Amino acid sequence: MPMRILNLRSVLLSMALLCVMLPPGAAQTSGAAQNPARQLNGVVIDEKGIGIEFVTIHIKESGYSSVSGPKGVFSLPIPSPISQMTLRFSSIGRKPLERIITSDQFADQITVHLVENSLTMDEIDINFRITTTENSSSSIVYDKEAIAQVRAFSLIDVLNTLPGRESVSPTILSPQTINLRGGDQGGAFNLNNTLGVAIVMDGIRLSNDANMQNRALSQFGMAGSILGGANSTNSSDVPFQGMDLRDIPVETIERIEVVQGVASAKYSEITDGAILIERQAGRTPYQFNININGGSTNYALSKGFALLENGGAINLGINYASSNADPRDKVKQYHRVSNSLMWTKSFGSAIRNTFSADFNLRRDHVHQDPDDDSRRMSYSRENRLRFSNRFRLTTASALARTISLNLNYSEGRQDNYAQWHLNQLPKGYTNKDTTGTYPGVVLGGRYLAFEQIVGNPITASADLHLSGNYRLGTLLVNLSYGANSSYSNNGGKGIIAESDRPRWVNNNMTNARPYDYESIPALINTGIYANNQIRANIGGYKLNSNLGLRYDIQNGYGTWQPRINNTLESASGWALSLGYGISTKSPTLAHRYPAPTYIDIPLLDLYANSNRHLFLVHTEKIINDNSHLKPSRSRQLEAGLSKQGKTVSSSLFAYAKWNTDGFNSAPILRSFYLPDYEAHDVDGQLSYRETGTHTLHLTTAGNTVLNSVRSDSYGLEWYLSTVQIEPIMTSFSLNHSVSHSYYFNDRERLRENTTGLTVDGIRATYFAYGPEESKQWAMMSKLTTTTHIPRIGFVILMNADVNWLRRTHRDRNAYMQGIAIYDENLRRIDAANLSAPDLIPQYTTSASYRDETRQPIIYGVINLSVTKEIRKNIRIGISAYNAFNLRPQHVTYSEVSQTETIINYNSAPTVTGGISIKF
Amino acid sequence: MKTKFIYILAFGVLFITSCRKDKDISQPVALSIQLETNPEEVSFDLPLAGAEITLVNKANGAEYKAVSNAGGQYAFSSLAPGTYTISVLLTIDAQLYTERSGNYTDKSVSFSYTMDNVSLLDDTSITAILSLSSQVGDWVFKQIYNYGSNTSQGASFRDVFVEIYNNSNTTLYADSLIFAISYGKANNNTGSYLLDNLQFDWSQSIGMTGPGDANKDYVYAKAVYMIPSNDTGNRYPVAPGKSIILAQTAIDHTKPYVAADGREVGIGDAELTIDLSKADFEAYQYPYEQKTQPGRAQYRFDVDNPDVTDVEVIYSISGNRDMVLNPQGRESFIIFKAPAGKDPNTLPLYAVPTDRDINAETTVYQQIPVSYILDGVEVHHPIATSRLPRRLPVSVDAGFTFAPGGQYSGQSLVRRTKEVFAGRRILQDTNNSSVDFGYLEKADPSKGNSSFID
Repeated sequence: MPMRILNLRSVLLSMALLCVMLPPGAAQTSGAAQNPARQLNGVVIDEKGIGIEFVTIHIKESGYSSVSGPKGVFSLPIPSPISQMTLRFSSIGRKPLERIITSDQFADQITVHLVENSLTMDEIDINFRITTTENSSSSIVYDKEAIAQVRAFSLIDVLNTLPGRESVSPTILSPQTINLRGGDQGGAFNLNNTLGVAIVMDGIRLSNDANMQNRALSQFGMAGSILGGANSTNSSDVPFQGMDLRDIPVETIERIEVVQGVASAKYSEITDGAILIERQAGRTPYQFNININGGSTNYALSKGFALLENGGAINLGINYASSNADPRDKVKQYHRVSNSLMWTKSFGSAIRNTFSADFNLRRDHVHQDPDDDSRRMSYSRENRLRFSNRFRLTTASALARTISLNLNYSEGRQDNYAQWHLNQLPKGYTNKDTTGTYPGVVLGGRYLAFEQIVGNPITASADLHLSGNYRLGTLLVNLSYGANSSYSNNGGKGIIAESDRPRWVNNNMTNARPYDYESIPALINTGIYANNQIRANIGGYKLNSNLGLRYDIQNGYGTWQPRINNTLESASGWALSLGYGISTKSPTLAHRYPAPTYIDIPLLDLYANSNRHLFLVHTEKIINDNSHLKPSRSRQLEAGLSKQGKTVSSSLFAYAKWNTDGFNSAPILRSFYLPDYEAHDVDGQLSYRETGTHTLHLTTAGNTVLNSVRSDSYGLEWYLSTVQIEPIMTSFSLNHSVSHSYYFNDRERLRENTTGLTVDGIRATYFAYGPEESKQWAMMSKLTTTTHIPRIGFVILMNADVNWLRRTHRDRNAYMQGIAIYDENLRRIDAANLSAPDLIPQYTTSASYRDETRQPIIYGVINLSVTKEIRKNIRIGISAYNAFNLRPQHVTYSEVSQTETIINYNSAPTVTGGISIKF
Repeated sequence: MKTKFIYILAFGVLFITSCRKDKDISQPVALSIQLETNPEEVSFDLPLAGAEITLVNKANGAEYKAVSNAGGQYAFSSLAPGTYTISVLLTIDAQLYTERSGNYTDKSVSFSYTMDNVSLLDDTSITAILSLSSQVGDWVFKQIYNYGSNTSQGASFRDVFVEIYNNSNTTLYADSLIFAISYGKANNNTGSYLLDNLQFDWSQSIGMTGPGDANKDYVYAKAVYMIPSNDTGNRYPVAPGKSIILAQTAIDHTKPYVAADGREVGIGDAELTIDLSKADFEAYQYPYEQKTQPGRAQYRFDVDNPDVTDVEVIYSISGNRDMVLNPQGRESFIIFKAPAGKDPNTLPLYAVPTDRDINAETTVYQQIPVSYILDGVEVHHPIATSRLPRRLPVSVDAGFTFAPGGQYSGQSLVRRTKEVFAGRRILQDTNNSSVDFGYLEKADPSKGNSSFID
């Protein structure tokens, strides 16, 4: 398929797109648009007046960014026409600073003080901020201090503090993916949502698209093919979904921006949002962190070296985390090593290059319990090495003021293994790779069965971004445009199934078979984009308009994706925003190239002893060509209203998001009309011959992937925050989120008729039921109080969650009522054409099926966190999840099933202790 | 036995002739009869009163009838000399016989004596040794191995079997003998539609009709297996004291599997399991499933041994895909024969009474009249607190039994031997498995002495 992507058509389209997006006559005006001689000069210094190198300086108005040189000196082009410049200075380990330079200061030498992060400073951002950035108008931003307050073991612990997400005790024991905006309905809903959340680190999307750590999808379905851990523990891998965020430590992260709304056209593969992570290079002292929570510990050491003679800066980060589910035994364990190296260097004032190498190691083990006769054990191992290089060139050309090229290559080895000692009858098995009827083999039923998937995911990407500006009348328009391409492949050994130790044998007409990933083709997605940012003053209101357009070719399907964000700000602090965008997510390799379907129909299964047995089987091999898979797609409309007050600020966002073409697997109904066979003795050996009769064999054993999932989400997010109220040295932040989501899997559900029921003389073989459909409502609030006493470097954070409502509705009638039957020829007969459609039995006989599941009580949880800084070098902190041990219980008794169900909300309190030392 | 009888007969004749005196032929003669039982058949005290004694004069056909007294005697005082046929019939009430013998019977038991051509020319005394003339005893469960063996080192639930024993005094035919797994409520929860003992109140099942008490007169089965037959019903004769074994999977579970390349896949510990390759019958459900649900995939553990006769599946709930016996004592077991002219396939099916919404897919259970049942054993969990409401009416089994090792212990439930007569073991059948059953440490399908317990 990759060849198709690179065909002439797409090249032409790409060129056409760029022509459309570029301003008419831009080429002619580019030279005159700017006066390259106009420069803003300045220096960034620290507390001691010493210049700081490698400070990132970003001009909000033009989107231009640069880096301070040796001794902190910087020089920035002044875009014209412009009356003021908003500069954002950020440097590793220092508090970011925003400074507005008005036109009368343009000629001055600017001096900027960047201070080290410290709790003794009067103003620090201990909480996330809701803000408009160049990426979205409803971004949630965590700065270094806000990240540090979480005492996170991994990125997910930080993101769990997001509005609308229930706070939980820090955990790294099970995979953690994130879904944004749209509720949490589990299953395919969540798989698709998390898949569409891009994790972008330093401008490079970390891709999970080459993850194929799943068993044969045709055999187990999409979610079912994820290999679980031994002893019913969680699976340790995340195919078909987003990245496992527990693999990302946070100590080296300077800033996290969560984009939930309409993202800039620059970003691809984001149907449900993006997490933009920034790490920075520069000189830092040694920093050592340790966090301990129950059986989990996390150690991190980092240091930034400035190399002599303008060699740039090297930043090293070492992180080790381990976790033990139950400190009393060592059965379930998780270990993570995560090392990073970043080297940044400027070549003259025009070129800057940052090279980074990251190494990740994960070991997720369920060790064998010595008392377990079935010798169950599992592990999931991953080693991953990632190299990326960011090259940035500043030119004098107005339309290509900066040209950046990001190259990324990552290769990993993933190995999932699970074993189980089987004790079964001698049994027929086959793993032949062809269609036909033949005697299979008979396995002794007693052996150490295993499943293993060895993947070798390789992802690479190249992103070319150009930015500049042009003049449109009196307006300055920032133009950014570029192209990107991503490559995913997997050269692993794939699904390993040894012919004498298969885990799943003759299981509903399927058998374990090996599947080699080495031969599968690569998946290449390409896209181009252009974005025009227009700033204008209209009657005292500031308009900031982003008009962007992307075109992506994913799995051979091209999609136009307009992304529009408009913000109107008044001088009094009111702002109104409106955005609309379309975005897509390509299927991953696991969706695109699942193992072939093999249907193995046992015809004779005879066993007397080792010398006398016969397993006659018919195998049907079906190659799954998923070239039909379209990228999943989302459309989002977002409106926001905010007011920036002196003491109180508030934002209200409303969104509507329509996701279509989400991925899910569905069984395929197949029938086989095969000759009957009988066994007979030939020289004392069992042989077989046709009897002359035929039997119909039906199955839904083979699954395939379809673009069958649709979901609609609507929600309101309201944020309210105060500045610090001096007498009590406390600031308050309150946010509410309300969401409603609708899930629809456009695929009728099938159920085998196990009764022999006939309707109108037709023997029903399968019953069909309407597609799965559910609605969810959720509402929660979070109150955070932050008491900050700078004088003694002391912070007390209190966070209270209130879960008001969680209600899931599925229409019982629609769910239970049969809509059609299939006859023996798999002809579908609509219920409407049957004389007695009511004869089709209900989908489930369980009387306990209810229309609604509703959170029966309103409950909450209170978390506390205390941090003390000692002499700016040492910080000691303790965080307690569920500090007051609020564990409301709800008991229900079901007359029907005669069972009592006890739900305990919140988990038991846990305490995280952390120390961080700078030296 | 026959030879002894001949001796006694010879002795009797000798005795009669030795006492002979010359008398006038016209003189009436007296005959005194003393009834006795055969100690080989009756080892217990049996009341001999009330036996019907019939004399028929062979010359003129005159018939004389009398009834024995409490001592088992009767004396005819004046009979015309001549040649007679003497016959005696003693009928013992079923309950009395069961009490005295300890062997359950639900029919009265007859003992008889017949002697032809007895010449009565003088006063004569005869000792009539009564012999058992009706079938006593019937098919009983001898061994029930529902527990299975060690799940990792043994054969788990695969080596289960039941052994059905001819506990009667005559050859019986196993043809059309039916083994059924009875179903009952699987928990002790309270609720509606239940009896006081928390078992289902089947009388409230939807559509329940029919004579009698739905709870006391019937048993409800989840799976019913019948031994095949031929036209004449004499395909599988089983001599008194012999048994048949019905296995879930009739293979030698102790033997390793030798792959084509010579590699052996052994059982973990062959000592823990058993050889069922000599089983008489095997359950193989696939043909039944093909009949009821054409197109359904074969259950992978329902393997067929071509060398062992398969039983016919009369009924099975769709969730039961092989003759899996519950190892936790959640099921009881019965054997029965349908009366002549009654097709067991036509026995009615009912859902549990708590199921109020009946449709084509509702699980239903076959209703078996207690009157058909030959033997039943109520099996419970070894731990009292884990026991469930009983499933069989007390008329089928007044007690219950269990093996202390419980599930996967390899132990089997075995009916105790009551006594041994001439090498034939009569198994104890008081209709109360609490006293009739013991257990073997390891199930034994050998049918040999080791498979019995005293």
